Amino acid sequence: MTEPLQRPPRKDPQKRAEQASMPPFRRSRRALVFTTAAAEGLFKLQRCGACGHVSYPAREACPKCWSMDLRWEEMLEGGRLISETTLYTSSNTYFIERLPWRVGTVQLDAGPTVLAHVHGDVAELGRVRMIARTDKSGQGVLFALPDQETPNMTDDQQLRTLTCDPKFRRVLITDGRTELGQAMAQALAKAGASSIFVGVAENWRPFSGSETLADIPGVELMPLDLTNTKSVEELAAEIGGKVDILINTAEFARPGGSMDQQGIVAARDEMEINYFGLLRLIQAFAPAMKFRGADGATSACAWVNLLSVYALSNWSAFGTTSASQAAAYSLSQCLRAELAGSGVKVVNVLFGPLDESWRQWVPPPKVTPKQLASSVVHALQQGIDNVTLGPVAEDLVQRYRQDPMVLERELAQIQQG
Amino acid sequence: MGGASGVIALRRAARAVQSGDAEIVACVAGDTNHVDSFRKMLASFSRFSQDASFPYGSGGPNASFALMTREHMRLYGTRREDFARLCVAQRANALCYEPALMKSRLTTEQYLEARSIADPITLFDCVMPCAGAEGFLVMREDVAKDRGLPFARILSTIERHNAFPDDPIQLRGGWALDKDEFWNMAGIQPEQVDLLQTYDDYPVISVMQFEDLGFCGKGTASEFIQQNSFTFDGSFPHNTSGGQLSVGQAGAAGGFLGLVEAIRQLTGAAVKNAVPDARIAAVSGFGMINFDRGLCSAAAILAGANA
Repeated sequence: MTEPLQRPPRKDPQKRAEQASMPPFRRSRRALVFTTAAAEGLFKLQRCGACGHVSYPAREACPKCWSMDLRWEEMLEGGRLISETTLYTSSNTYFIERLPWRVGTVQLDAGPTVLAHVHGDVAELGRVRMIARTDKSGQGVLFALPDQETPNMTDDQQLRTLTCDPKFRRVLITDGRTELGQAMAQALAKAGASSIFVGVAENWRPFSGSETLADIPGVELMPLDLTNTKSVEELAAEIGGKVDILINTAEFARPGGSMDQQGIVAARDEMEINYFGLLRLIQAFAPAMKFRGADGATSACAWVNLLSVYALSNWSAFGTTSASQAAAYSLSQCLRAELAGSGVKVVNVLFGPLDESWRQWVPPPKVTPKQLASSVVHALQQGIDNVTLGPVAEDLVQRYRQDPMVLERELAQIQQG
Repeated sequence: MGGASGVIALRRAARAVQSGDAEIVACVAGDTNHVDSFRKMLASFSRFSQDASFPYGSGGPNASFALMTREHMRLYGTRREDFARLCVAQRANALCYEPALMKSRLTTEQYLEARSIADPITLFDCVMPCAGAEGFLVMREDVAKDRGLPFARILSTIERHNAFPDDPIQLRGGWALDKDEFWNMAGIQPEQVDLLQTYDDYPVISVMQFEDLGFCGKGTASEFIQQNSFTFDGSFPHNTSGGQLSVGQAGAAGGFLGLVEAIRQLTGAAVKNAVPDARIAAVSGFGMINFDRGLCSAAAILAGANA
């Protein structure tokens, strides 16, 4: 049975934070497809298009019929643990620091046998439910869960290396003035976050929902203006060493394409918040988080960017906003590469049109702030790095993967009606 | 070819000599050992191990062999006491072989109480990486005689890659497919063998070779082990120089160790650890663990000039 996670004791500030070590990072190019599926929380293996054989590890050709037509498909999650071992030694520092470590051979219902990390509650020779997630190096690994829910299951120490559970963690939400920021604070309080710092720009200006927000258990309102480097630095100086999860809810979106505006005032504001705001946050908060990636059971663990799906391909109805979101998306890729191996995951949520006043005329389906907030908490609890939220975003991402150039033309057609 | 490289080198060299491509072929394998070189080798061992086993923690073959050992014990009732008997006997052999790295006696108690490495594998189940080299020459018999070199003859060899890919856990190797051909080619039975050198990175692999080469039935190794002493001067002499578990594994030279020792025994070069009246030796190799199993199996039967 899994021991429930205890609230971590107050940290001795004179003690040096443990430096993060990294599980093996190197993978073949083929195996990176497994990783990208794992980043979405999907368990995909290659199935041969010619003979149907499922193979593992990632291959160039089917080992049964030599066909090169191998397709990555979602697999049945079931399996059985047919052998196991507990490691008491390793050649890798990351594992040495976490021994003993349970691994086992799983006979998948999908066909192949695989080596996987094994949850402490899986019975000897028992049934398992297989998940694929990214580990602390950012690469995909297989993890065998018990096939039935067990008490405190998510508190398993090996599983927690793959997830970013907000329980007992301290969170910074960068913009509390919006319905989104407030929904996010509610969701994180419910998920057991111990402190929820909520940034408020121009806090002398009243805003709707401020009282309810302040009443949420654990919430502390902090002055934070993303357009002001000094403001961001000041907050980082105060709480930078305490932020385990950073969720950037700040967004500036205005309708209109490049010709709909006179001058660049709105476009500059978009860049100030959506791109430079993110950059200011990264410069002020990411270095401290990076060095706290292995800081005990509730170490720094996640940086969450909420991005419009039109970051992938411009929608001229929100043309300059899309451009600033594209810049932010590119920057988040940069951040993910820089944080690889630090123990801090970059979680990107690509969402369809948000149900808020500036997108009032956009036809449904839309994503509500509450949905967006609960998807973030779900991603953190499950250890998922890439989330696509809402039917519009799902459709766009699918088309983007099929052909980004065609998608560009399709979006232009939508605009012309 | 890793642990099968000795026998495989012998096969390639013999064909080259037989077809007249070469008169004498030197088969040599060796490795050095530097700070962190073993870990780096493990990290880039093969694409499959890089993608599907190295990220799971053991950082080497310990976990893979632990999974096989556990299944062998569960399915066939093989006991840790059986593995102990092999390891203890090999160490006794090593004490009479000067180049061996391990210089002190190993007792059954020490084996059984050793610290756990990857359950059920403990310290003395694991081969030690080291620096070193092994080698032998392959030539026609008359060439050896002309040069006054001691020699042994090849009676038969087998080699196979990727046997039984669909076994969920490896409990058998390619020898099981080639066993009949192996003995028929040599024209002898397993009982006629005076000594056996198996590839012993972990004792479960030696056990697999006993079974698959026909020295005992599949799943009966426990009983077979208890009936023999495995020392060079006892019954069923096995890994008479101490094997890799006492000599060490110098890269692919680990796959040459048993073959070179067999040649030493048959040519009278083994002195302190000589098997009395050794005339016929069997040598077996096993190598290239990809992510969950060894891919190559090979074996040879050699006869001394007196056989």
